[in-house]
Amino acid sequence: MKLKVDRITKQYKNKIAVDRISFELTEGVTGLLGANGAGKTTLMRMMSGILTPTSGEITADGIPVNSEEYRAILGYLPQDFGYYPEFTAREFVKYIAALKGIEKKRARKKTEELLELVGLTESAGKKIKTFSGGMKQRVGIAQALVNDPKILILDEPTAGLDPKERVRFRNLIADISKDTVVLFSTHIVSDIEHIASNVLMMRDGQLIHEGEWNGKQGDLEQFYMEEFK
Amino acid sequence: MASDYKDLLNEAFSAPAPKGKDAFLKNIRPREVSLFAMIWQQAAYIRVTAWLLAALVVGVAIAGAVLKLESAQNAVTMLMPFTAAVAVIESNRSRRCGMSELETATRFSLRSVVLARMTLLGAAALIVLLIAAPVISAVTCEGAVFTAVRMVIPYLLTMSISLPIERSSLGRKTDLSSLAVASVVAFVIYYVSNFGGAAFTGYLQVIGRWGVLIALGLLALTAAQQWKTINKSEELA
Repeated sequence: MKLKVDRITKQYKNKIAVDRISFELTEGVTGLLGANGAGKTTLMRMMSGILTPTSGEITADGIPVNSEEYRAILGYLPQDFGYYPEFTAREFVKYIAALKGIEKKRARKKTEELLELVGLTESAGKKIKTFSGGMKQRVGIAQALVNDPKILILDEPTAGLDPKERVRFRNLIADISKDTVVLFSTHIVSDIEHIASNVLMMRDGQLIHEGEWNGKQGDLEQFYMEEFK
Repeated sequence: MASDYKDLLNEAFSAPAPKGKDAFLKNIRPREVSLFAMIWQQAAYIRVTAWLLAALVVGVAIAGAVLKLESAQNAVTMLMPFTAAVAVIESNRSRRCGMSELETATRFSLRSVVLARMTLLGAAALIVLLIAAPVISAVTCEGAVFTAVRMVIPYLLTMSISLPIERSSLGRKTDLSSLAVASVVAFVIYYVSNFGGAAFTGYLQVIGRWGVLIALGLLALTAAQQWKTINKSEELA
């Protein structure tokens, strides 16, 4: 699968949030780094079909981002997400499965598998409103994976996770990325160092780095701190 | 005996681990889902309050017919704005609960979700009308169409006022705006029918003469507002 972002721009009244960005992603993990307001969330929202770009194109193997076919292969975790107050973790994941057109029996099975994977089997029947931030984030991760996505876009997925959960999450993403295009944004450079084979760095709506990061280029954290100080 | 052999064979020759199973499963095209199936699926996610309110309207109409209470007509007419308010609140629930972004990124998208909820609640209101209007008209001896028009005007009026308010910044903050509109409409019905005197008689004459046209006008206005809400639902995600 080739996810192609071609000269994407998003302009609000007098602000350019994303400025003519182009890149291509294939299977594997790509980390997206950038300070607050760099345009990471806007870019991810456009890649998830939530925001319409002012100009440019996003396609996955030629399938346009605004099509049902694209959304059918997409898994998305927003930075902040809500839930219907009466929902339990199980109901939440099943609801998203239904919206993704997954047949009931398979959705039930997949929901249980994913809740086990994110360590929420025992809390599956409890209301999400009683959950801690980390538990909510794990429910979010489960819903993003419910349709076995070919494209997985995760906006700050490690926010709110404790160190043990973060390690578990990294392993999970590393495993999924073998046959999935994964893009995830974070402020935590070590998350990217551990699992991302490809790094995108944004500043003021523009890409300032794109490609692999290896030892020869120096310390990623140091580069990041210098660029965003 | 045969099952023993089967068990022995299973033990001796275990099935190999699947190779590339996940990749294969991902390449299967997602199944087709009809619009009807999508709409029906949303019925389970509409709060029970909405269905109970519709049932209450029918219940009051039937009770009024059984007990031969003419006041049942006013009670039903006053309940209709609240069924409209609840329908508007349900249609905007995704945004209020912060689910818009997630629902927009799913296969069917938020627009389809909002359309499905509006369709279901609109169908419920129509069923209420089709049951309650003839039942009440049997007691009041007024025509079923006249009774239906009297019931539907407050419903459509509440909807056409509440929908734009719900899309505004005020409506995004609170559930109460639609309920406030419904309360005002219900209070006006109560006041005019109990203390309106000549005004009430005049209103009934207007309904008798122009009621169907007024209802159709409000229906067109409501449909236009619903269309705007559906189209703007993803802008607000």
